[in-house]
Amino acid sequence: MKVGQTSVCGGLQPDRRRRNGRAQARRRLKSAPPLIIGYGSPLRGDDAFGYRAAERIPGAIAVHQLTPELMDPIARARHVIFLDASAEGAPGEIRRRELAPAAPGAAFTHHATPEGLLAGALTLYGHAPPAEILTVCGANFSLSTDLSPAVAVALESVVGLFRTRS
Amino acid sequence: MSRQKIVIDPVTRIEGHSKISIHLDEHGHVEEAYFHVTQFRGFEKFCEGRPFTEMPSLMARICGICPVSHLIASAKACDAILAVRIPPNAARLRQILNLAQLIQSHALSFFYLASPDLLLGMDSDPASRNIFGVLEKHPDLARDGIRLRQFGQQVIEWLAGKRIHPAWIVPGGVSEPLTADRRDRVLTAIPEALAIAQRSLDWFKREMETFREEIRSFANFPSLFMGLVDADGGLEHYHGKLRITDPGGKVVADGIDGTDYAANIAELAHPWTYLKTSYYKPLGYPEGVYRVGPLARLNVADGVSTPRAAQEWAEFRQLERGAVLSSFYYHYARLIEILYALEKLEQLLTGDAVLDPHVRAFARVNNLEGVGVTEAPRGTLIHHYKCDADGLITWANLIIATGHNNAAMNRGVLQVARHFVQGNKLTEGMLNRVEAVIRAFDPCLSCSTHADGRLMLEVELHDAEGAVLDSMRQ
Repeated sequence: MKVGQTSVCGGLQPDRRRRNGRAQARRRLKSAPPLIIGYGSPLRGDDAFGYRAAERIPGAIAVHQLTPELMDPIARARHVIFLDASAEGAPGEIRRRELAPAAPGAAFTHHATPEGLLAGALTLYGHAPPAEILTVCGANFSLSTDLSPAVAVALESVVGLFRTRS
Repeated sequence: MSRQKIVIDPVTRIEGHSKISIHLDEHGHVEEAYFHVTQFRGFEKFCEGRPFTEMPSLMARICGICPVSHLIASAKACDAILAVRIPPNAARLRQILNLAQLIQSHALSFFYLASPDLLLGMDSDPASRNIFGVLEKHPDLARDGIRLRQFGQQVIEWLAGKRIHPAWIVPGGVSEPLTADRRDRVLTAIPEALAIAQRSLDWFKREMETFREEIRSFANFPSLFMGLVDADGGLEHYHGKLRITDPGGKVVADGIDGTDYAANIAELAHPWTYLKTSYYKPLGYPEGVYRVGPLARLNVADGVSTPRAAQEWAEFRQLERGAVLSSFYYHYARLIEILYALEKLEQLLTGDAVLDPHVRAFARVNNLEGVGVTEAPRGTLIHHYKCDADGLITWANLIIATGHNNAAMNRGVLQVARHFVQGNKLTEGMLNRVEAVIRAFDPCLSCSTHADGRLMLEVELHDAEGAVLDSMRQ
């Protein structure tokens, strides 16, 4: 912290400073758009759904896999929406599920589950926002940079949904 | 009692897929132990026929953790094919990106993969012995680890456009100069990262006393060490020449140019693993076994060019009269290197030279062969290509840090197994120590052999006839 800043902050009582800071954070949170995190491998066919969708949604985060670094932005979000491919259902079928924080299993290393990230955000930063996951069922997960036709159509629907919201 | 074999399959909290087998004699004593890498690599073969200009981007796909190292080694090999001297600022920007990657990769290794053993205990419940267990019991340290990795990843994104597989580094330099705005953002974030690095290092030094047994037994043996050093013999990760030192700290070979690697390094294959073993050719195998990576870099260097890291390096080298031999100290060396990388970033980014827009040299194919050497987070990385007059790749060879360390990792597994494993009854804590010695090296099996990148470990117990008596999988 710079010397000039110290003197300004030093004029407030610590409790009052904390209360003001929390109130500001709450106001920012209320007006913030949801945090959208799309994940998947862009080299594994329809597994790329979440990644490709996030690439096209302004402000969304596109990642190959979920990692603990995401706990920080998650804790600062009003609402989190994960986008992922799924192997269950008919190709192109869109499903939505609400998520709750849950500790991951023993295999948890440097990649994580959405529930694990929410639990980590709660433990480390004191806040796990309401969260949901939108999945699109894929047809092909082999080596490919193309989406199958049904998933490509679903991708347009999902991207359109968020563009309308924003 | 007949001879037996223990198999740990898969090895957990490492980058890639592997298993460990421990062979017991008739009395239940460990006779032999092997670290098996069960993936295979095809990159050298399937890049044949591709234009050399594609190589940096293709090679970056080898790994999602250290793609920047492959980009840099590959681009340096391509610079040699172009026969250009790249602009000084291009080299500076590559150095910066390399250091940012070193920070994020070392943070991942220390905080995400190794810290569960260090903070929760080698014998703690395996169900919670992971980063999630750490963040529940030691949230401050977990937050620091996450913040440090975020910093490294963020710098990579600010400079190169994206965190994984950026295409910014190209043959002849880099594709875009750095803007003042991005430079200032990195500089603003450095003080917080430096404070975290120093705090973590201080914590580790205080805790080391509690790991005396692991320090004694974790791949603690005489070997050679190899790494790049700068013109003054100082710690270096991008420029410089290779140096090899012996266990007493004496220089065995110095000033080895990347193009001469084949005269100094040989590889051999074992029937029980896809990972080849490198050794120092003039001494042969196994006398020429060496280690690379953070421990080796601090052992081969005569000094460190940044003030705080220099002080830490001097203290580190006081651990032993010659080279620091215990591989448990890889963790310690990793933390010192994070501190160094942050200080060095600050040095390289301060001033306007780093904003020089001349960042790329252009040429056609002028050499039909090129070698690129750099220091990846896990150790020395060598890319060697041959091409035809049209620039199409005809042959490629990659020697990866984990391959350099293969013999040492195997010896380490044997040493730890002999120290901690008794009889044919497996305990989880005992086997975790066998895994932990591998984690100290932070191997990247996806890099060194290239397959599906899963993170697993298995241990098997075999009798003299080879029958599996017991096994554990995590």
